[in-house]
Amino acid sequence: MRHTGNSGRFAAVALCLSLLAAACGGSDDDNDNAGGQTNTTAAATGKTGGVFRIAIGEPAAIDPYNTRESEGTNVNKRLFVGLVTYDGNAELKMRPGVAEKWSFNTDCTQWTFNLRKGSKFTNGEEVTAKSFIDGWTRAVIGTAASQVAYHLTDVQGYKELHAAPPTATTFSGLSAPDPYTFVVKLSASDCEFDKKTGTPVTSPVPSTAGDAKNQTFNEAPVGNGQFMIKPGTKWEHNQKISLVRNDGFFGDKPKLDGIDYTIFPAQGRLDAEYRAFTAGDVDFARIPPALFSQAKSTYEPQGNFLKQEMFGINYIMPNSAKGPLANADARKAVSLAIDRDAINKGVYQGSLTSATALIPPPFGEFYQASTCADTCKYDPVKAKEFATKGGLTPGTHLKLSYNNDGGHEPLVQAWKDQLERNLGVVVDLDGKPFAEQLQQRDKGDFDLARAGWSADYPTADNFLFPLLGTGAEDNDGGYSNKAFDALITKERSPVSDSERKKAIQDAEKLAVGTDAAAIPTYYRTQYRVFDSKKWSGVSLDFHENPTLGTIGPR
Amino acid sequence: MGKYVVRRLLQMVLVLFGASIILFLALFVIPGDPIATSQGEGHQLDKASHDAIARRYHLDQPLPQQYVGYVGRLLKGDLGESYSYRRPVTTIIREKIGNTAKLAVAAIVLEIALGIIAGIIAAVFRYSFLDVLVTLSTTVAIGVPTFVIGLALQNVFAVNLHWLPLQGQQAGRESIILPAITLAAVNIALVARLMRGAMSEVLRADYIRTAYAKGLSKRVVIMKHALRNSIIPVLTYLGISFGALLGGALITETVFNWNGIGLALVGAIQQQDNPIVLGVVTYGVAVFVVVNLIVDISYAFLDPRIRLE
Repeated sequence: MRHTGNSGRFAAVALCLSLLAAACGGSDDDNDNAGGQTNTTAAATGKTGGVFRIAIGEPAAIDPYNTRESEGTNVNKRLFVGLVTYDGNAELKMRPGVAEKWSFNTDCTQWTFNLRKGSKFTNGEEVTAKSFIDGWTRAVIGTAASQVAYHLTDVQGYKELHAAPPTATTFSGLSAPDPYTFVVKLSASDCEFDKKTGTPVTSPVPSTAGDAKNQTFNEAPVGNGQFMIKPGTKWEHNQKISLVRNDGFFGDKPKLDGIDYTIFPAQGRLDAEYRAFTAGDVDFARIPPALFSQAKSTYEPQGNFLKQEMFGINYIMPNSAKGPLANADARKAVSLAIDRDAINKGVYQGSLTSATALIPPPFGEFYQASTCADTCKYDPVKAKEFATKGGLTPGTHLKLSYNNDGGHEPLVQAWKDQLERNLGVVVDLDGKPFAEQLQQRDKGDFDLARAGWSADYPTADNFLFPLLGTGAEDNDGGYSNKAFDALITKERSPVSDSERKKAIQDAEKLAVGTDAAAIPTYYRTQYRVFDSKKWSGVSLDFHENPTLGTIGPR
Repeated sequence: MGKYVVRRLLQMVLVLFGASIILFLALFVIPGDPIATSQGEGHQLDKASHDAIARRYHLDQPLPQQYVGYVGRLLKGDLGESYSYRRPVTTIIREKIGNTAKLAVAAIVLEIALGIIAGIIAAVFRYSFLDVLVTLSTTVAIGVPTFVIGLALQNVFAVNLHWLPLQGQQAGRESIILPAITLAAVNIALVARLMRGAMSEVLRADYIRTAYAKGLSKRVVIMKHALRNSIIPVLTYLGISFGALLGGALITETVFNWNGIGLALVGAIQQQDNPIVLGVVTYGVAVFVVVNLIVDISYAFLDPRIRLE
């Protein structure tokens, strides 16, 4: 779960466009047990070979114990496969990774993962339950000072192991009755724990990994994924990382012979990366916001322009707990007074997609375009009616909190203008650096806040409970509705798929549609450029990195 | 002479010490939590994780104790560990210093060659077409910001003509041409102007007229008598500029993604990666002081009248 401070990066999108129509449509049930981590139904030709060249910024880490940002994740996910995986394409479906199947007890506090036999690290060592215990312990132990250990907060023994200094040296909640059975005991019920076991920090490590400070492993991790660090090389800081195919991989073999990551200095890397693409030095690149129109007009006609909706949402978080927006009609007035399409055109060169739901389109069957369709559109007349009904009188001061390190000034300025013009209110802009804005939001010191949310795990729940559940950590707007909470409880309990879906959709309708406790603005649409003459099977995975497992030469 | 050098070196220790206090205070007094910043847009850290990280970087200690610890480690040559990359700052600087030095040397060579030659030509052929050309082009070079020069060169030579690589260092030796010109541009202009001014002055001096009167050729008069007497201010300037270049060229390195310490510093400032900021700036101060010392010493060789005491 992460709040995002930056929607100026292009937001998300629907990948079920041209390239991947087949993959998006009907691959839900093809290989539940086949262990394929990748989706081979993409429009690839099946040819193998080639080295795909990508530009990245210097990763913070590629060692699973501290892999946390997009650059490190891009490399790490090529090298490691965890218990489950959702890295093939941006789809909701989790697939088996090292675990062939898994189960949990009635209150979701004990999880048992049955591991496949004979899967190996690239050094020949077998991947067993001990590999997971080692990996998780190594990351969580306090001396490692990991920045991603929080994924495992609910595992028993986390507190003792993660203390600084640690009061335990083993992870008491983990056990291995036999080499192929991995048991995880939780200190709090979590019926979606399996979803967390696809994140980098939950990767298995071989016995040679040592502790988190082992520089050899930090710079050339030995994993069990589709690719491995090219033998004899390591991460050359600020220069490059070279990977080659792991022919011993248990699942679908990638088509590429290898991947060359060229590392650009982190600052200004978007520009660098894009320019490198225009010069033909890399095969794939992100697009700097300022160059969006140019990139689109140049590369779209050539078929080299990729557009995809991703697992994120940009929204306005109203303060539902106190102040002038404690009334749902007042919040709807705000939503109706904002002209999303005009701002998209004027500020974002038309690169965004206006949102009418909080759970974004890539969630497929969970996505409801109608969630707030009647209030998430521009209608100044209706806005005034709702304002009157909701007691939002002209002259009311509204404090709009935003982070001033993400290029959001044009956006919040437009909001301010439209709200003041259409509702007669006075909007006080309050910009702070992202970390401070989060603190301000925590304290509830705002009426409206610019907010962005990207999922850590591909679950619809991840877009509802953390943001809107009573007392949830990231529910800074203080929304609280017993009916909503009951629907979440139901959706999280072991019910049938159709009941879960209905509970989630009802919950979203209630909180976002009826109560307007979150005001969706734009989906997270992502754009990339790539060389479609050379490569097929290119799309974005859940982490918004290229699907390197399915890319192949034309 | 020996005494002079020792005294200057001792002064340098004081300068570095003062610089470290100012920097340390400035960085650590700035509001904001570097741990939260290095987390970026990721999940907000729980307290246990935050504490574990603070402990690793000594941020759990009071400021004076942090400073004492910092200086203690500095004396052992340890600049600490980067918050973002978790690698020793000395290693990071060492990896990048070569690139910065390469760029600095290339730039200084251009400054010496083009700047001095242009200055001499302008002075010798005063008010000629060449002089006007030099004056005009130096005005432009000084007036236009460095990043604009860099982007313009990129546009012409990399994007349109495809003669030279756009950025980075992957393309080998050719990569350095555009950044070196960009970095040197302003200094070439300043050197040319200094040279022209100093040379013009000297050319009017009595001993130059005497030299001509003795029947010396123009070449000998200019290259031997006039140049040596007019180069001291230019040399001072070149020394200072070289010292500054070795400390990292922030703008040029950023425009060209040149993987040097200037770029590292820019990134570190944005990420509040204080150990890198402290390390790079401390290093920059040290280099600057040393280069200046070398320049001062070289005066004695150029002008026997100068005595270092």
